[in-house]
Amino acid sequence: MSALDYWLCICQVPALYSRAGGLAGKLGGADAVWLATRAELRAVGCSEQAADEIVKGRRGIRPDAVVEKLEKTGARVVSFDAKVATGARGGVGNEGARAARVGRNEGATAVGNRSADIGGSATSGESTDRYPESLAEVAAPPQLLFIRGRPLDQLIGGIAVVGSRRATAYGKSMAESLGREIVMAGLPVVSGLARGIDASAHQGALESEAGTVAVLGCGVDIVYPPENKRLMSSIAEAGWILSEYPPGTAPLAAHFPARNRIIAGLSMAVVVVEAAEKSGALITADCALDQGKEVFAVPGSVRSPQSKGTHKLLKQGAALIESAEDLLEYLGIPNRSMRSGVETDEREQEILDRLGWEPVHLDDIVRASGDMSEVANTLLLLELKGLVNKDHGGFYIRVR
Amino acid sequence: MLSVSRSATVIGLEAAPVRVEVDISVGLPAFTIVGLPDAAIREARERVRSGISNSEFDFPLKRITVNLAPGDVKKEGPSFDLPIALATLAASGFMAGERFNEYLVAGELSLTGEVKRISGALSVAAKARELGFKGVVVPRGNAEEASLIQGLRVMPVANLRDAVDFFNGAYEPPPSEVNLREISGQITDYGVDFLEVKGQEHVKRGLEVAAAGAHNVLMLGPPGSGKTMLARRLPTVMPELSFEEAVEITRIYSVAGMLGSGQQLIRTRPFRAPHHTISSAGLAGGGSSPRPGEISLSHHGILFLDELPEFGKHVLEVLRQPLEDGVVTISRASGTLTYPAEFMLISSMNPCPCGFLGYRGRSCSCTPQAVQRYRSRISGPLLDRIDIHVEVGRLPKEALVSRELGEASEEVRRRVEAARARQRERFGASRTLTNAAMEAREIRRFCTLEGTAAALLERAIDRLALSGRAYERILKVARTIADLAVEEQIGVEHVAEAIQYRALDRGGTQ
Repeated sequence: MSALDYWLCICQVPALYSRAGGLAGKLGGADAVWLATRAELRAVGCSEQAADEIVKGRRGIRPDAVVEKLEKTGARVVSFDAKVATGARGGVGNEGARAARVGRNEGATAVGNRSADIGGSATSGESTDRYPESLAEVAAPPQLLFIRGRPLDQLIGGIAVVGSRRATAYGKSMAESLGREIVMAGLPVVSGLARGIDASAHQGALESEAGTVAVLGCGVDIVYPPENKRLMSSIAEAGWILSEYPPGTAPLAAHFPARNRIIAGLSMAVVVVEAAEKSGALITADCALDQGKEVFAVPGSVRSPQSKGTHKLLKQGAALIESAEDLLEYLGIPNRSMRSGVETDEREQEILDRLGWEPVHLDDIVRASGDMSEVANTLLLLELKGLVNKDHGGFYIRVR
Repeated sequence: MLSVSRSATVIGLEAAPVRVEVDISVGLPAFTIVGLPDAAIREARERVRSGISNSEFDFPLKRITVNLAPGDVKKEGPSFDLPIALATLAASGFMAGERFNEYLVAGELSLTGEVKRISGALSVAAKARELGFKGVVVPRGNAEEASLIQGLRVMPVANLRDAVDFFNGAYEPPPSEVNLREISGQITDYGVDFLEVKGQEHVKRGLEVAAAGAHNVLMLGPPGSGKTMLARRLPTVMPELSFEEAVEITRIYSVAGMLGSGQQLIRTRPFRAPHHTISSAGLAGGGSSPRPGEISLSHHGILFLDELPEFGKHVLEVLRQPLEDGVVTISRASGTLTYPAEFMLISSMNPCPCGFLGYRGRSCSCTPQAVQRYRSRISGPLLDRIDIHVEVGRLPKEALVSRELGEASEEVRRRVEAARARQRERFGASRTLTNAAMEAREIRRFCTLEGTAAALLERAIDRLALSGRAYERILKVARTIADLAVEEQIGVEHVAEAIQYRALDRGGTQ
């Protein structure tokens, strides 16, 4: 079995996978981790219980199970190990996975170009999946990265936009514009595909080809939360869906804090749009600080509980941004085409002017200008153009 | 001596004829009733005995046997008191029984001999007419409703004496008659009006569309936003009841015993708002002695279910058949009953468990999962039958204190009636009467979209992540909006407005 095969086995045993980074360092390699005896495990610091769990969990596990799922869902995998083994330049991604599919028994170390030959499709030289360098520098890098969507080496210099799942209309509107403006400057937007801010940031980022990265706390084939199904399939087409967990893994609560280090790891900077006092987004910000990256925060009303966390960040010294322009200037990135070319006709502009950056009720718009059907029509067109969002209770808010 | 009077028992909404045979023979004094009587009928013995004595007749101290034929139909209720008493008196020779064959008799006796109101008199009268009887003898309190049946002599009696005198030919009570022209000329008064509702323009508009196409509605809004107030006013903008519809409603209320004394015809569309602790039998009807449930009491009117997710899951499931067929079928060991149940379902729910999602000035404390769970308590199949979702916001203070009045119900009703007329014309002889009732084939035929409207709908479904079930509903509602606008072709703005009424379908974007 190849090193990748060993990793594909390891990732099926949660008790082992969660410790794998540390164990690999002490025992020396995936094969050593997988084949370690109970005594060896105890010797490198596993508790009695953990060692038991690992030994029991290992029984009957084969790499094929994961490979089959990868084939079924069209996902790929890269391993941290292979990157280290073959050096920063070596292509491992697609070929590695293909090696796992095709030539699994051909030899323990053949993960590189040889297996690409066996697989018969020579994509090397063009775009491939390569373990992201920025992620390799993280304290506990994910040992495996499962991928759907575009090849991984097209993913360069992301900006994370994260925030509360219980976002306000203001927060969602900000996240959407930030997402859009960042991709228009040519940078991919990284987020966690959660409800609220994350979903809005992805949505905004879908508008340009720089793309968006969704880092999941479950398998890349699992839709969670379910209402993001459509969003997820758009991202799978135009961006990247990543996870350190093998396909089929359920969204367990424990996975989410862990995936935040990946979000931070893939990004040059983290923007927190809205976060309550205790929010997962703050974990992402902490990870970014640990990794020596910039943290930005979008201010909100001092009375809004959804902005307590972001204000805390600001007090601690995070940079305040009002728009992507601030962010790009701070990072020294040339600001291309911030103005988007959405055209509006006269009537649409009139309604747009009536709407502010604060939510306005449908009734108020109708009272001020005309007939229900007509206003509804104009608002819907504006919404479809991405200029306006509808909020709960019949309110509308301008997004840009 | 044997004597036979004629009466009827009510099963479902229909009356079934019953022969009341009384035989008096020599023997030890006894009073036996056979023929599947219920408890109320068995107690008739006591009422009949005292009623006869207290009307200054002698109760025969002989062996009295009462048989209610046919013997295999269960009979119930106190309405057999009067026919039993009359046949008993005839059998013992106190009165003539020759005209028993010409009249159906029904009425409850009090111990004093007075004849008291019964339920279901309208059904009895309808059956009498159907079977070719000359008339009915009914309690005075039921005379008004019974006289709705044309071509039937309705003889109101106040007490047992009156009834005896009538059959003896000694007394001819003035038959109760009704002037139909006069009734239909009366103006319907609901006591409430849409103009009393301040603001909430888009909700009122949504309800207008609902009334025009007979669409079911779900209102989403925080507590205190006026959902109940709005729903209560919906009957005022619905088309005027036709005479036939009014009679149908009256008949249901008559059987349920809910008709006020002396009330002739229910001329207003019913509005029923049962509490969420109601049982499925309470909603659908039934019970050991079957009675129409709330859905039948809402026939041709509004069934308002406030706090929809609080209703029991099984309770809501019973709504599915009536929403589809317009009738509710109740099957019991004793047989199957059908009650009409053509109603508009108006339901309401909070936007989230705490009620404050999307409410300005107070933040909601629910997690997104909790909101999701709360909303998913309403089953898909039920949601499939609700075409319109409107969000009811809580009003700002300025709107509440403003003197501005809304549009009067009568004006709205005129538009609704015109739209309904267009629908009738379109559907012609087919069974479908309203846009809400259109089936897939009719939707394909009557809800075609031209270029831009079709493109808009496609884009909206994509961008707003509308669920698949939204598609047909949007088409139906767009058809109604076009009807209100007097347009043959569904336009882009009609589709746009219809999309506004799918708040609950919107996926991740909200």
